Amino acid sequence: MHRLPKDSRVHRGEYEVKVYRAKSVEEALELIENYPDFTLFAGGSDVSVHLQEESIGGLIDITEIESLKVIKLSSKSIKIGALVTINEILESEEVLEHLPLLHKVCETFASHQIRNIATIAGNVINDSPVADLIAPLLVLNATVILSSLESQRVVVLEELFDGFKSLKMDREIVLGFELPIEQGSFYYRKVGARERLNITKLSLVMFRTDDEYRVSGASLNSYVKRFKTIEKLLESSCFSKSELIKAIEKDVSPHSNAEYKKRVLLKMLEEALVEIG
Amino acid sequence: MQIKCRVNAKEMLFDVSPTARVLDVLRDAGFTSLKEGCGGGECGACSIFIDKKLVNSCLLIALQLDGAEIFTLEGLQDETKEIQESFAKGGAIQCGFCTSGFVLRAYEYVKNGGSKDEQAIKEALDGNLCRCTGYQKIVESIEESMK
Repeated sequence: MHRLPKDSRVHRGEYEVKVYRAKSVEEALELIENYPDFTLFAGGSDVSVHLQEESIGGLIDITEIESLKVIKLSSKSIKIGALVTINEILESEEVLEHLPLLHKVCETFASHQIRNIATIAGNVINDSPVADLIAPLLVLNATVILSSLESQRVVVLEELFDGFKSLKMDREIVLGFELPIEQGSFYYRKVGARERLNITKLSLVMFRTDDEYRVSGASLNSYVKRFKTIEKLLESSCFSKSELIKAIEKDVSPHSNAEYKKRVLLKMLEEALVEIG
Repeated sequence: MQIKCRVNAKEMLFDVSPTARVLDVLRDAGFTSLKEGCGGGECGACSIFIDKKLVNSCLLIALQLDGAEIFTLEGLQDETKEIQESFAKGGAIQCGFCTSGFVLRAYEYVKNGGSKDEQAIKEALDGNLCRCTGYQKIVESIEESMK
């Protein structure tokens, strides 16, 4: 009979690790400056899983920075603080009214228990090719507000991503996201092994305004990005199915089950065009 | 690391690594209502309340306990009595391993004014897995406790 070493289960993840607590953004940034190899810790639903598997240098706990837990509505946009949890987004009437696509995506995000701790910035910064929130934030033209010790910058979210797990941030912290309030219709579908608590096999998000189509999806490339060729094709008034297939080939390069994913994506695009075409 | 928190309304002090799983820390302290099912945040058998929010304790690390108000099923016996009885009466328990997680989720759902609609109850249980009952009796028992 195979026996686990006596302590391996009970003490999994238990090793000496340095922890610093930041009470403010400034404190967090100073810690990042002094300990650049430490991991930022918020809800922990992603980080704590890594902690069990590999040792890390140390943690900078940012859970107590209250200023990052706010959803703010203005006339033209909604700002969502980095530490707002998925369930807090779901509970927000402002989001439901002005960003129904984001609300819908959050409904099928992980499970209730995880939605209670997982944060919006955590899902983005973890930079997984299967992240639920990146694609909808991209098609909603979200900008991300970043701060370093020296300055703040606001960039289009898309500019943060450039390849598998290669986030373009340097000793910075995400303060939050700004999402413009726009009129538009949307389509969202996530394919997985089950309806809830599923890791996305692939998803399609489409947002259509009067002027343009914005399309993205998860688990279709080494990082989540906009599907620019498909967008351009949809904007031309007339196109054939074979052109759509060609556009998929250009925009999408799945790491696994490529043929399956491309076929399903084609079906979903056709469905989206029927729904909001 | 010394970690101070309140568990079931009692002050507690733990001397553990900040990365120890809360599931292990609490079970070692005798709170065995929380179970390790999947250990990866999928099954909900280890659910606890931390600062009034239901979470998977297998995904929490001891660091997050510090200064927090924790409730496990041991500390919510009176509050969950009705739901527990409804589960027992309705056959919503077979092996029982997942039950404390389901009871806590059902309690939270009912307390927060959850809808009696069957589909809404099913969706509310998206973080809890049961391998015995097939869920129907759990859903019916929650419906029953809301009557």
